[in-house]
Amino acid sequence: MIATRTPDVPPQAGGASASASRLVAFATFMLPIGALLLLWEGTVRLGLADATILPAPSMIVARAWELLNPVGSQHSLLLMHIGVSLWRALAAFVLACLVAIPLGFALGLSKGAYRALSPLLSLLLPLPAVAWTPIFLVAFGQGDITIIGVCFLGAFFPVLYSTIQGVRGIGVHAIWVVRSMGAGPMDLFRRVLLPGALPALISGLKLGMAHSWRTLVAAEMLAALSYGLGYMIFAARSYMDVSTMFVGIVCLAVIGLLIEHAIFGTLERMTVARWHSSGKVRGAR
Amino acid sequence: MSADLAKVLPMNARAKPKIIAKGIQKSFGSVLAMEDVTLSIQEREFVAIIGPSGCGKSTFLYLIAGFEKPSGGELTLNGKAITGPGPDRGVVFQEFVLFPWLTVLRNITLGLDIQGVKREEAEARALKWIRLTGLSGFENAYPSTLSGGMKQRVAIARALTYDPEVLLLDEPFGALDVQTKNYMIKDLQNLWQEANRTIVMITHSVSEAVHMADRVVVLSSRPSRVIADVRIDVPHPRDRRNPAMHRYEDEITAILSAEVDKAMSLERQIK
Amino acid sequence: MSTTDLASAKPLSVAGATPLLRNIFARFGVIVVLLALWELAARLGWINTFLFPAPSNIAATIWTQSGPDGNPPYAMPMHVLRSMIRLLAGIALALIIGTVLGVLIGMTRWARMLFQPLISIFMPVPTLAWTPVLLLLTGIDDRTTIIVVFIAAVFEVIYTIVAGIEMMNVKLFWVARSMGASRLQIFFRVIIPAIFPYLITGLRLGTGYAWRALIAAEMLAASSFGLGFMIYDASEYMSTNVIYAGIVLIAVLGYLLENVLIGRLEAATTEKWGVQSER
Repeated sequence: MIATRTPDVPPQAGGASASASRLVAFATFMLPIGALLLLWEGTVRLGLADATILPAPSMIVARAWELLNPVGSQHSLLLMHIGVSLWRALAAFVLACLVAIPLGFALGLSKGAYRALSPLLSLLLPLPAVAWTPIFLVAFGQGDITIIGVCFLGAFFPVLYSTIQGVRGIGVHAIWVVRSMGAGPMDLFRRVLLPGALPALISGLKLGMAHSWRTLVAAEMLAALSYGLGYMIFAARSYMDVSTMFVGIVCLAVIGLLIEHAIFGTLERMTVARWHSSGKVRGAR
Repeated sequence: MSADLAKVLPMNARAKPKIIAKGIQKSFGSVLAMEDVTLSIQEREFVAIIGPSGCGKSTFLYLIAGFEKPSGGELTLNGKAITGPGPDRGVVFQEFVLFPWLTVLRNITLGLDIQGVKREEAEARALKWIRLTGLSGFENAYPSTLSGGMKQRVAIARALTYDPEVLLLDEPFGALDVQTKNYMIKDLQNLWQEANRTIVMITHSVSEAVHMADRVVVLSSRPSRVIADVRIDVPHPRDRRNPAMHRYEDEITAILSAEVDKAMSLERQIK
Repeated sequence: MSTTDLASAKPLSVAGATPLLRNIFARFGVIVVLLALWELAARLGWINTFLFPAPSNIAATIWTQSGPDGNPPYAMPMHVLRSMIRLLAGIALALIIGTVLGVLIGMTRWARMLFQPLISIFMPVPTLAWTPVLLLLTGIDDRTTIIVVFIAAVFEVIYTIVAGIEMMNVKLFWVARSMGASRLQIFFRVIIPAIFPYLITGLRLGTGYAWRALIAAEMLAASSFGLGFMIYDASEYMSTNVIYAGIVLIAVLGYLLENVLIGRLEAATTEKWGVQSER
């Protein structure tokens, strides 16, 4: 069981093409998942698991379909929830970036300001953003302001921290080189600061969006009035509607994945991966 | 002490074969590293194996150690086929591979600890090798505080303390600078006599091989075979300045250089 | 994402009576100044003291609620204690299960093939999303919150351990095997110590996520004690003092957990061994 080096398997006869091997890889990936789904379906059908607590995958899919379709003259309920959640998380994230990135650059460049504020920052960084929900609830009650406010705080600190680290990591020599060539502040920003801080910045953006999305779930459960995936999941609890709850969970996961890979993946590939041979920016959670 | 031992144990100690390799083949994927390595190592012999880079000499050692399996041929220890690693063969690697979370003493007693030997007895047995490798006083240091030479001494003491029948050294001085290396070779001469067991050493340095070993085996370039087997008939302690030593060195260097030239020209042809 | 870099900012040179005072002032100088300004603004009525109670009020609340006059008596320590217990229980579970799984995944092909896909689909689920399901399954309070903490921490532990094993020198194994070590011996004598630096990193990150998850879970699923519960409950009564008191405690504890506790652990082990792990 302990790994020893064994002779490699000789290359496949007939020369498997790249797409075929990717298919095989996909199949091996899906195998345990498929097995789990089958097992899950089986235990519920056979009555071994309580369907009121653990719905079968087929039931979840059925409910998802129900929610997806428009009811009467209204839009699809599921799409409404998804849309509202997305808008809240993105709004919070964008706001956070608008404030944190410039602030991050400023703090990263000014040694004095950084030294003065860093203890405060290191105290606030591990603070869960959800902890601010009660204050927001008192001040603004339930609703979008509270939710977006809390998510803003969730995204703000990671983005700020990463930006600061990115800027500080550039090193003074790169700045000197460009300044000795007669560059002004705009040039400096464009040619050195921005590209130099970009890897850490993108990593921070990824982290910030992930934090915003995860904080959103909790915030919606606590403070949403009508729409939102978190709200949908939590509200379903009062009806013991586990199928809906699981539909919500799946949606949350899928959207989170999409955001991380689709948006940030492409962003990374277009910029950082091309510049650095190692190319890897640490994943966000 | 070494002179007495040299009289009691002639170089050719009891021509009893310890390790026998017959037609050993080893491939990695489509690359054939070893083609037909055949040799026999006697008990208590000190054999040095030398060859051009990439000829698979370290691989051969790993086959004996049991970390790898041959693709073809027979490899036996005491007449029985080698199936995996075990406490009858101790290994010393080029890069020391000490456990950084253990002190020098605990690194050295590791083999005995694993076998369940009690602390006091293990430490008592380790003491002898600590002394012989010149580590007295460093028992409670952590490896990260030691120099390369010291680390290798710890590795050697560790491999000897639990008394394996065979000691396998994989380019033991390869990671050390020249001065440290020369000092170690001189300093540890008594050690091999004291150890009094079968030793197989891989090296790329002819002078090291001629200085330390009873026999020097030269491997060809990849895919490797044995192309020379030279017995060094000079009593220990050996002196660098001994003309006999120079003759052996020249002889083996010539064989090795020819082989390296061949390998290099082959490489250029392919390119 | 470590905060030790930020925490080790060099002190400014300020004329102080003693180096210690200078150190404290430099480190927390800005915080103290901000607090003083806040206090001043509150006293002078410049800000809404309902939404932003004066720091002195917050401190007083912490003080009284920690003693026998609290409501309930010794409220603060009890809330803190309950949160800590839940956190530690969840993390302990995550460490044990995560380490075993991580080692299996890192070392054996079957475990990797089986678990990697499963982990890939479960990891992106925001931890708190499981809370309602857990509420139905395991009810309120301790069990649900501990499981949430477990979920939050375990993925991080597994991830860093797998990375640690990939970085481990295979020859460390070989040495142990050649000495005749059994699989169990190899696990405890070689694998665990070798991946320890990575374990600590995973622990630090996992603790951060776990603390976040715990507070949120307590808000959703606790009915009596816990810091999360305390501040959520306080919002229903509009006791902003208590809310801020809670926030302060949560921030301080979060900081201490991630930096001080783990920092001490690191100093006692990986720094002594002279090993570093990749962050």
